[in-house]
Amino acid sequence: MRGLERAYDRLINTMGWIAGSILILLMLATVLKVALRLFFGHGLLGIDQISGIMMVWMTFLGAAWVLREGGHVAVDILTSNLTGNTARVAALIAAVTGTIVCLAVAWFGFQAVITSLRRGVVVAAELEIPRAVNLIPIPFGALLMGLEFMRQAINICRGEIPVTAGAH
Amino acid sequence: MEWWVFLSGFFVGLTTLMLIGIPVAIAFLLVNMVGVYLLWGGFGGFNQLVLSIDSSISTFILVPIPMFILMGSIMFHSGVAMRMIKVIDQWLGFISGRLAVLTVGAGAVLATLTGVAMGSVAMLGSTLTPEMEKRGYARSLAIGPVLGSGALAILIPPSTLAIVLASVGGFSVAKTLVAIVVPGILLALMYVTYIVIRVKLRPQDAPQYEVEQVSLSVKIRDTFLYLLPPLSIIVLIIAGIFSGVATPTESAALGTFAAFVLAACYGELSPAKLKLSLLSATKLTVMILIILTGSASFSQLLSFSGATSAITSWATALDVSSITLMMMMMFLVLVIGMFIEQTSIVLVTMPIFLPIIHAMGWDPIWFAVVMMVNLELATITPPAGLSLFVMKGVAPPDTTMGDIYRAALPFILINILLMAIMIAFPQIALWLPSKM
Amino acid sequence: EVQLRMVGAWAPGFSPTAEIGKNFMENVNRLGEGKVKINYLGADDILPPLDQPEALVNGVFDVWFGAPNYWAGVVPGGDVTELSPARIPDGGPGSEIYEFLVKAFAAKGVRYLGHAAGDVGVGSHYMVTTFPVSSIDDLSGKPVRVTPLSRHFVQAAKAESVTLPPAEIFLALDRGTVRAMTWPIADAFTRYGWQDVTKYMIDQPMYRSGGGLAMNLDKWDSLEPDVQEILLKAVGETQEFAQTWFADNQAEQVDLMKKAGMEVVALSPEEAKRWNDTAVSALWDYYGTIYSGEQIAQIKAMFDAAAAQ
Ligand code: NA
Ligand code: NA
Repeated sequence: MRGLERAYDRLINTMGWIAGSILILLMLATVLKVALRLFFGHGLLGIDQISGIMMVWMTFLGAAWVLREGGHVAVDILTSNLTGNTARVAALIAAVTGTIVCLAVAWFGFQAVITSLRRGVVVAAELEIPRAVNLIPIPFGALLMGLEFMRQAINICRGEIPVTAGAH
Repeated sequence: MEWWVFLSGFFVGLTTLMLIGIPVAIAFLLVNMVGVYLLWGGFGGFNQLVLSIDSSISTFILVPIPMFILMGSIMFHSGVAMRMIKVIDQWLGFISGRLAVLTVGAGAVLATLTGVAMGSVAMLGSTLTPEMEKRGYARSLAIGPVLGSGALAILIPPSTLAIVLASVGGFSVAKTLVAIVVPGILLALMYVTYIVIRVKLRPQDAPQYEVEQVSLSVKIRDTFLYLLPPLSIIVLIIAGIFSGVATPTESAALGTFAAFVLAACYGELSPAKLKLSLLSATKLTVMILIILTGSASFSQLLSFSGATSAITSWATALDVSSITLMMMMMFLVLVIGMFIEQTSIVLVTMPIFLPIIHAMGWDPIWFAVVMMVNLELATITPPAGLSLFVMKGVAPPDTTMGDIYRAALPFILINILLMAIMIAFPQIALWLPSKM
Repeated sequence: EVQLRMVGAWAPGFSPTAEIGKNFMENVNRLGEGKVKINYLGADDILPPLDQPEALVNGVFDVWFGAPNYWAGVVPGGDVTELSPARIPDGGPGSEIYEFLVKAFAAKGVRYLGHAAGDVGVGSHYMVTTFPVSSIDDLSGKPVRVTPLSRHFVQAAKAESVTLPPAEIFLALDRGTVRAMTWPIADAFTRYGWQDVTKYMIDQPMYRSGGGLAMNLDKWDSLEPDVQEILLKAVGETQEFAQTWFADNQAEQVDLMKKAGMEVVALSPEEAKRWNDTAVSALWDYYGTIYSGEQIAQIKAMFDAAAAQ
């Protein structure tokens, strides 16, 4: 169990790094496009479209990592005043709800990828890229987020003080 | 089902979920899923929800958000922004509430770079708020001006929203852009006035701090070394956008790249600092974008249920005077703006407002200006103003949403005052565009 | 009475092309009184226009109007009538090319209803520039704002294609980020103020443009034959309405553009032919990546049959 959790943590860390790398690539891609236009008089076709795809990949690959790091915003007007068991119950409700919602999005996202591939939908922009390329990170990221929420819920049941839920 | 059932369901559900501490993004997702089940029906609807998650963030138009966050992050973690503030400290004598005033000034400068409030708030909130807290400023004064300055980003051109509003409304884009310059500057001045008066009345909110004495030669050297280079990045960005050499997205990316180069030149781009800036920028970017995935579908479902158009029709069917009608319309936008983001507000209200504008014989540019002030306000009105969440992301860790709501309040009132001035004296809004 | 929910790419009143959807709805509600009624739910406030085709397939709503080209991602080649030489681009319900499209769309879960446009060369896509143009060669290397429809032409003309949402075009043109654009002039070109930041309209019609109508296939199949007949009759009426509608709107727009100081540039006959050949072959080349050579030949034959009617 501990070994599994360590492997999972490594995966989440890797996802965080990939999201960060995409952020840098996002900048470099546009810089490259401008540089090419400046020096060769011609931009690079499709950079804007690829930038859009990178936005989705960055968001969903990084989402579970951000969740573990306590980075997702919550309204804490009420929960920041709770203590003891009440705080624990509120945190548990939040974690369980998060688990259910994210796993559901993962499932529907998976279906959406399959459907999109089956329908052969492409994005008719500069580059004809299958829509599924945009969609793939959504179920994957939602699944990891669901697992992270599930881990939070289990930890709360074990009596550990929740680090993230409701805190930020 | 009736539209008002959906409306109350949406808002009661969202409010409840948020209050029990569920992350905002998840709260939006859950409400959306219920809405989709009821309104879009079955699997096809859920498929559509996933598609709308993708299309709401897969656009290069939003790329300046991560870019400006990354730029702010680099400037902050490499110490460049701090040094800029230090140099200004060296030059300036004591001015009451200086850092808060500086925030508004910096916000106005940033506003000329971006039309997105969140990038501005992220940058100022991650640089100047910690500095103000360190100097013992009252928390509301360390946060409020940042929120206000974020609102400036939308009002002072370039403003993507002004162009959206003008094109949807069929107004002259050029005139709308020119017309918002005056209220933009006016708003910045009103913020400064408020800060100065507040600090005069409550000096403890912005404690005086010792400025170390430095020689003139050191001041000049530091200015050339630490103030002018980052300022020239800002000039580069402005020049890029205004000369047409680059789009806002491109300028943002170039400016961020220049920030990296600058930090490297200062010898401040150590692997540790690079890692810190990159990971904190990624965290904030992901947090903002994931909320955006939820807020877009939320607005769409609200429209789909007929709720948004029903409220609008109801409000405009009343038999009242011209000014009262205008104020009611603005109140309506204000209320909708508490919950949904600006582009959707424009798309939802303008088709219904336009016939009224024509029927009442109002100058569309006047209407557009008042509307812009209102839309800009929507980023900082609780509970769901996006700038508030951005602020939460970059504020010191012990900051609560309650702190942020309280800090926003005076700046919300200043915005409403500006709106009232624009409604009462249309000539202020119309003077500059009439010179075109 | 059957109730159908309609969503469009743009709101009527905002976009003249949206009148195609509104006119179709009015025709159906008049012809089908007591049997079928279309309720308009909204436009881009409901769903982003480019997401609407998939939403129609998903059954989120029943009837759709927008640009025929918006189907390019879901029904590749479904907008082939952009190159039609017939007065009614798809020849109207019952024509050979119309039935061909019905079949192509049905394979993707959509019932094709029609393409309503002005007569050939009326209400079409045109190029508008900030610099003088006397030949297609003048476009080479220039940044041009493209629509999904015109990107093939712009690339074939060796210009740099730039994608921008309509709201961004004014600023981009004003600052020279883009120096030309293509647009169906009849669709409220001057509403955006673009006449103030462009100088020349190249008087060379390119693609048919106009409005497309479609339905969710399951919903269509669930309708009684007499209701289906009513819808098809309404399509025919809308296609006739479109002819004068786009002609009038284009005349009005060109007038406003001239008043704002824009110049309508006529190309020399040989340059006009080069321009047209490039535009037409660029799009056929694209369709060649979707349809087999045999199918292309078949489509061209069906076009000629429709044009001869
Ligand atoms: Na701005
Ligand atoms: Na708000």
